[in-house]
Amino acid sequence: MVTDIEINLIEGLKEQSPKAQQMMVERYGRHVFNQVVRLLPSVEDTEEVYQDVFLKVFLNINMYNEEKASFKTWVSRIAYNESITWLRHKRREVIYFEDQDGEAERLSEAEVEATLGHPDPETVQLIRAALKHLPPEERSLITMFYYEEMSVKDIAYVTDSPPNTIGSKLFRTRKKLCKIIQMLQS
Amino acid sequence: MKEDNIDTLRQQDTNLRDAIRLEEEALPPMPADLNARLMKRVEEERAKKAAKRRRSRMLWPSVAAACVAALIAVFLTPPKGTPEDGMSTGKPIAVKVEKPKTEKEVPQREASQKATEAEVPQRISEPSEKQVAEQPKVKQSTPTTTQPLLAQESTSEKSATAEVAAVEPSTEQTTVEAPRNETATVMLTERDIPITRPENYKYTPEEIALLKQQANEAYLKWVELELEISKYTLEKMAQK
Repeated sequence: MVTDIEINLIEGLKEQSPKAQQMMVERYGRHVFNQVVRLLPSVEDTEEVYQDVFLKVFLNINMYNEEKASFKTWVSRIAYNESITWLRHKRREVIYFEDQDGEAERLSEAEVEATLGHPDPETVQLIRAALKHLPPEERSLITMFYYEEMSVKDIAYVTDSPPNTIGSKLFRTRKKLCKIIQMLQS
Repeated sequence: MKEDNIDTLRQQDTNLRDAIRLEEEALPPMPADLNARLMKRVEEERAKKAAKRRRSRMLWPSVAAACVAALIAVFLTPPKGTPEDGMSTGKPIAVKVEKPKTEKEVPQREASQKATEAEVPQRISEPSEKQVAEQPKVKQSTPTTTQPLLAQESTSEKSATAEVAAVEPSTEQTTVEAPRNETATVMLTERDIPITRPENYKYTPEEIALLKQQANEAYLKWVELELEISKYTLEKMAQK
């Protein structure tokens, strides 16, 4: 699960070696930045949280357990938690789509597959617009699943949720996206 | 919901995948100097931590020295109720009192008193107040009662005359009870030491009567002295 390079890197980080820290930042910096910027509303906030994430990684490197997850997943977990904590503390008021009437839940799987499955550039643009109406946690979830191609187990580790909950959330988010697309089309 | 079932979604939702990919590509780029700033902050944090560690390392010896000093002070300071003062133990204190040869001494003192009275004209040049203070002492030194004076220390607060009467310590008065011409061992308890017990702050009626009597005697003596001083002054003036 953990490569030799990562083992050396972790050893260096445990010794608080500046070289290892520099290497760590170069290796995982882009990944962490993307994960944070996906959740936070501005780049300035992202830069602040980005630094906090790495400081936390350097500080808590001894707490990393390679049996639980890969090093990258562990770093992703810290980045996700820092971003969510930041969002909760700042309490920025952003309006998201909430399926309060349960209309999205009533959509059939065939409808969802037809919207998200059949390749269509117009639908892709609609989906991109619909993604902006999702709460940050759900947007992050489908990005981790579809773009980063993380396993449900890893996503569960990053978000600190049971794997079954992750599965349910994925299906619910797909339906929600379809509902938003329908609303945007109408 | 099985993992395989979920994994098929990834292949199935092509539109969604493309949309997310495009969104990820449209994300703002990472600032070029962000990592440099991060490393600078890491250095600053490290320096701060090192300074804090150094400060705490320098502080600990001082704290330890202060603790040791406090402990030494605690151990070297004697407790309030040490047996040195003999007050708080509540045990009777055996005091060996050398009994003065009272029978011989009393006539001697009477003689010396007479001599003092005779010397009065010679000492008249000294301030009269001093003599007034001394005179009752001479009189008081002769024991007149068998009861020990208990509240002598606080007599000054009661009245001026009482002060004059109670200047002399009660050692001789205590010894009156002891067999004469012998070295007596008197057992004293806290009750005998006036300052140690609150009940001793109050005078018994007998003590008050005794104090009054002594005050009256002292006053009479003072009047006599004043008269003699006046006589002496008149004589001197007549001679002149």
